[in-house]
Amino acid sequence: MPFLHVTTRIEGRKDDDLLARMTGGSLYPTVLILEADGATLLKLDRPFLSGALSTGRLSAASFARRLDVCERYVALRARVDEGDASAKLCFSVRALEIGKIDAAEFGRAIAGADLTPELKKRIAQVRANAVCEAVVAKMRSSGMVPEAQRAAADECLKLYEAGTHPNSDSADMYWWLVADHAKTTGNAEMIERSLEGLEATGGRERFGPLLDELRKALDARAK
Amino acid sequence: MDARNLRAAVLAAVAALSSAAHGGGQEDKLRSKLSQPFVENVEWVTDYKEALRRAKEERKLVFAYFTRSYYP
Repeated sequence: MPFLHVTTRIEGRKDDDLLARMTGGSLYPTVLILEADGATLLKLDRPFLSGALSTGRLSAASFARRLDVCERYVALRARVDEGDASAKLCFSVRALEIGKIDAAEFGRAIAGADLTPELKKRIAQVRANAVCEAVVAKMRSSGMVPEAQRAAADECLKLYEAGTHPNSDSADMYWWLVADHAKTTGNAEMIERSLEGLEATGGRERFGPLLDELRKALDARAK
Repeated sequence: MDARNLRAAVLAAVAALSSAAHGGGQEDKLRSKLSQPFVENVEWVTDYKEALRRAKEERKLVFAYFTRSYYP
């Protein structure tokens, strides 16, 4: 159901700042995916949209995938509410994917569940994405102060060591934090992996100088 | 939501990010915004409560696009 809301500055016209009432902010443009009761499932606001367009992360196909996760979340929740225990695990995964629950709550939700190797791999990816999004959001909301960057870097390095790298919206920031650490330590493998990650997540445009520094560090190690 | 309608809405809304509203007065800017392809080519509901009502009736999600007439 497509809903359009246009805010204006026409004198004498009483405009309803619906977006501010719904989200507490007024960053235009903003896309929301809502349930029929008005609950927000997905929010894509201006900072995300402009960054995602410039790096090619946003496309009709990628958006359709996000919408699919939202629809499956709603359908699975209905099954869980009806007492279908078999839907609980997939429901928890979807809830984590759209940020309805955090990684800790997800861990509790799936404790003791019998997981296939494929499901374990999928869950590890979803979990890595959720952690990445949470730490990057916290870092950004702090105004990128050094303490917050260090804390985010620590969490990202834990993900790196675990071997499952995020492929979510903020994956470029994950690779930036890992690359910064790699540059400091001179870890050749980490430098190479960071270079690949930054290139793959559209980092060429945003992190060009860092990519060049990493290559120089790698060349220096090779000599 | 109909998949084709949704894709049209998304592509049009994404394309609208790079376009600017033209015109001098605020009324002109609103008219310009509303005449853009992303508005004209999609069957938008502009009443929020109506959108929720129809979404509930048709068992669909709501794709809500918030924009402004006075700036891109």
